[in-house]
Amino acid sequence: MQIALRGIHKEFPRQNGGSLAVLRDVTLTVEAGEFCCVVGSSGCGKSTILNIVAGLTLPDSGQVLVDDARIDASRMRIGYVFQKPRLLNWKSVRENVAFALKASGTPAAEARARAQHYLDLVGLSQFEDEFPLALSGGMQQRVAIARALAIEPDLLLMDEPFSHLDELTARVLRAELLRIWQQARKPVMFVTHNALEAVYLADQVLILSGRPATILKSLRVGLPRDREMEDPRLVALQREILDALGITGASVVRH
Amino acid sequence: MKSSSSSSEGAEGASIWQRWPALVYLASLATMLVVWHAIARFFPPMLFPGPIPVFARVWEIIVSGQFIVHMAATMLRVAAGFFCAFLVSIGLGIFMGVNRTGERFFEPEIVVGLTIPSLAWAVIALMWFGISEFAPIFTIFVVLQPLITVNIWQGTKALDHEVIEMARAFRAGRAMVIRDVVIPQLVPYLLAATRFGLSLAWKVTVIAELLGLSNGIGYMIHYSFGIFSMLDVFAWTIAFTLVMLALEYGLLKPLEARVTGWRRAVAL
Repeated sequence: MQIALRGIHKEFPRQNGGSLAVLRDVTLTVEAGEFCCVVGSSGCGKSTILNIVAGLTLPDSGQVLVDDARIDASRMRIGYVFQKPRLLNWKSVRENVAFALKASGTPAAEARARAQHYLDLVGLSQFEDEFPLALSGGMQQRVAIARALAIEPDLLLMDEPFSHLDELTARVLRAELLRIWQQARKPVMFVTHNALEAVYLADQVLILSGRPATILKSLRVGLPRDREMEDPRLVALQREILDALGITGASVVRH
Repeated sequence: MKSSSSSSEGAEGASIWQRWPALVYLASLATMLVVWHAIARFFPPMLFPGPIPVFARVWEIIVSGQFIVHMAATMLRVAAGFFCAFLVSIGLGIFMGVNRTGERFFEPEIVVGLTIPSLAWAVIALMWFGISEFAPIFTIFVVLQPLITVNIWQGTKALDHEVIEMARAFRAGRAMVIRDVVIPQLVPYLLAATRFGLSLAWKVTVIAELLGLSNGIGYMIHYSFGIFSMLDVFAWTIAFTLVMLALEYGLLKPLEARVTGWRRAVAL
């Protein structure tokens, strides 16, 4: 399944009556089975792109095309991992995952078994009867990841899912995510402000400008999948992204 | 090793009060009775009867069947008024929580409603409807409705929109969003509204009964006043309070603990 955004514009009304242009002519293509990272500074409108793809926000103009419009975008099965876990705190960990399964039409009995399977996958099978507030932030985010994966989505949307986690946990989860993605081979749109994370994960990196955001540059990461974050080739690609964003750390050092 | 031994010591070292919280409640009640008994000794029983004669009288009015008759009358009024107020408040409170214009339109109504003394409403209702069941029920309704509406309105405004958005992203239907995402967030507010509403409803009913009805707890307190029997005033008040306590500790508190148990979970 291929996802394409064509000429997306979006403005949000402001309190003072004016409007804030967030996206300007955003055009991009995520190929079937591709891991695509969208990199940009905080507050530039990255999340808005994901919300438009998910159908939570309507663009002012432009289109979201799935397989060249042969498939209705609103029929897509979408797994969404937000920056914060966004769990239902009044339901147990397993019920949280089962909630997403039921929402996407899975029968209750199957939902239970699949919830258990995916919680096992993120290493939380011991905690499935706990309430979310009894878990640490990292564990809550893993529940959110299990929830998104459990529905076996056509498209996985991830909005800085590891940015609130410590780097050690984030590393483990990134490797896990790649392993699961390589099995499922479904397209992923992964938003981050961490350039190194982007080049570690992605096939394609899209670099967004500041507000109103537009795509500055698209980068292919042609490296094999057993990547190391310390690989000099990844660090060089990271430099390329930071340069495109105008973050010239090197020139500051030279002064 | 060290930490495990110190934690088990901590459990053993906990005082008897920490291990059996129910004991604290019992001690509290016992203290009240002792203080009451002590004070009563300084006054003539005509003005301040002690707990022993009062509870003897409570027993009498219960076995004679009088208490059940009047308690049932009061309870039916409370139930009817409370139910109507709750029904209207849920609709109005949610509407005010989601609609800015509706909120502005009804806010003054709430403020006025909260300000008018319940005694005034009781007098007005009795003058309008006379000595009928409708008067106390109307009074309870108009007194409770603004109070319950405020709770539900605030609860609706405090809804976490991020989890609602999450549910929509996962394609949850409207019924599922309301049942699994919205209502669980409103439950604590509904419970608070129930608790405040009921405690106020009892007081309002008793006032309305005292002013102009021919049965109910309020009427009996008024009747006891008429024959100047402090023993009866105390007995009816205490018997009524015991039923309220039973409702609070036997029904509302356990219900609250059940539906909001997830909040007590402690982070690892």
